Amino acid sequence: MEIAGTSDEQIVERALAGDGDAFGEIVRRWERRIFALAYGILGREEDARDATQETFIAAFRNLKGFRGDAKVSSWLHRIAVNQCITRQRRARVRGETSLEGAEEDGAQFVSELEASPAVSAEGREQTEAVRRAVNALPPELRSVVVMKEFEDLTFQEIADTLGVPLSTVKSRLYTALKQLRLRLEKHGVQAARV
Amino acid sequence: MNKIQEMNDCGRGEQLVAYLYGETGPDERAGFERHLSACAACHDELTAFGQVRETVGAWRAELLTHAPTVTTAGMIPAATAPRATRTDSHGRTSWGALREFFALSPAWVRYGSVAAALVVCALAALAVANAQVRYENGSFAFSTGLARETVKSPSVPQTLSANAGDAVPLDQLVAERDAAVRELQETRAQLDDSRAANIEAVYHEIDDTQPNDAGGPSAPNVEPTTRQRRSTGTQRKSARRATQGEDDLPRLIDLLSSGN
Repeated sequence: MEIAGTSDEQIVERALAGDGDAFGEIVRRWERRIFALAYGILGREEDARDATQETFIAAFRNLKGFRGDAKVSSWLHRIAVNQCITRQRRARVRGETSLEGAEEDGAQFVSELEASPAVSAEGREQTEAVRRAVNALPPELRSVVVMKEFEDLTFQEIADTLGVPLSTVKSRLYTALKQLRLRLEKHGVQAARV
Repeated sequence: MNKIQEMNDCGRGEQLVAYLYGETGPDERAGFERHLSACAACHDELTAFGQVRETVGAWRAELLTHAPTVTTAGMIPAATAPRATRTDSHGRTSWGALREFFALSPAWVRYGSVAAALVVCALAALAVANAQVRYENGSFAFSTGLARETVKSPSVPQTLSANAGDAVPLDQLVAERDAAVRELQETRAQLDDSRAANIEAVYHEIDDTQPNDAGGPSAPNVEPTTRQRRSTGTQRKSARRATQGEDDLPRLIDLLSSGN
């Protein structure tokens, strides 16, 4: 089966036609981006892994509901954002509102990232500073800034996903950027040299 | 949230982010650019935000480079069969709905459920640990640690046990009981015959020794004669013999104990 040059939409059609391997190709193509999005919003590797798994499982279950009006990537990212928001709400109920200072005990992905030879010591410090600064944001601000910076969604798309007015998205993004600036300057991170 | 509502000194925070991300219309963009040329604070903030964006973007690139692969093996069946799993009206599985219920429940509900589950498990473990299955005299017996009642198979003969570990067949006990009852009845019949014979003998002896008594009443204040005293002693001896006949008979308790 030739899949390399096939679009996502065609692969979904194959999956709907009964091709058992087709959906696996969708997972391989998008799992890293979905994981990065989930990690940015949730801030914990374990939560991000779970959210990524749940995203693809939910997508597979609702494959027949995919109408092709939007791109497969947009559809997947919307599912992922919803999974992350649901997790954030559960965490809020449990009283876990802040990730500031959250340790990455046993987080294999983060330790690999920090141990990479391609990343300098200064880069590792800045990566850690950015991670801490983003994690320190309240969940509603963190979601907006990650959806904008990671997925380049429009203000209207973010507003529709979160169910909030357009002006709320802009004000949340402004506040998030302002807090990130203050925290990064506090850690001496001036510009992007990660 | 107060921080969400905060704007810059010019009150143009929303316009600033819209301009930063290129989501302004032509007129709005032109108007904000005119403001930027005259407002140092907005210009400085726009520059700083641009640097923040670059930093976050670089972090995202690092994440994408080192992001792990996610295992969905076993969760998604090889053959495409969407909605093969039972879900509720919200698209959740039963397990997912249960997890969400506990996730949104207050702490006392979660801890109470855990405590109840532990109690049930402890009782079940106790019952299993003390369960006994025995085979005695052709019958199976099952008992648990919670219910000491013994459940026996109805198809095999029942047994009674006089002492622990000493089971006697029920049929044998019934036969012994019937034999004791028969022996008791025979003994009672012999006793009645013997008593009647003794009484008859006493009456005859009295009649033989007092032939004149029937003639007239005796005077109450008169001393009995020697013959009368002797006659009275004879009556006592006869009565004593009749009583001795009852004493010589076996007692019921002895018969029952000898039967066992």
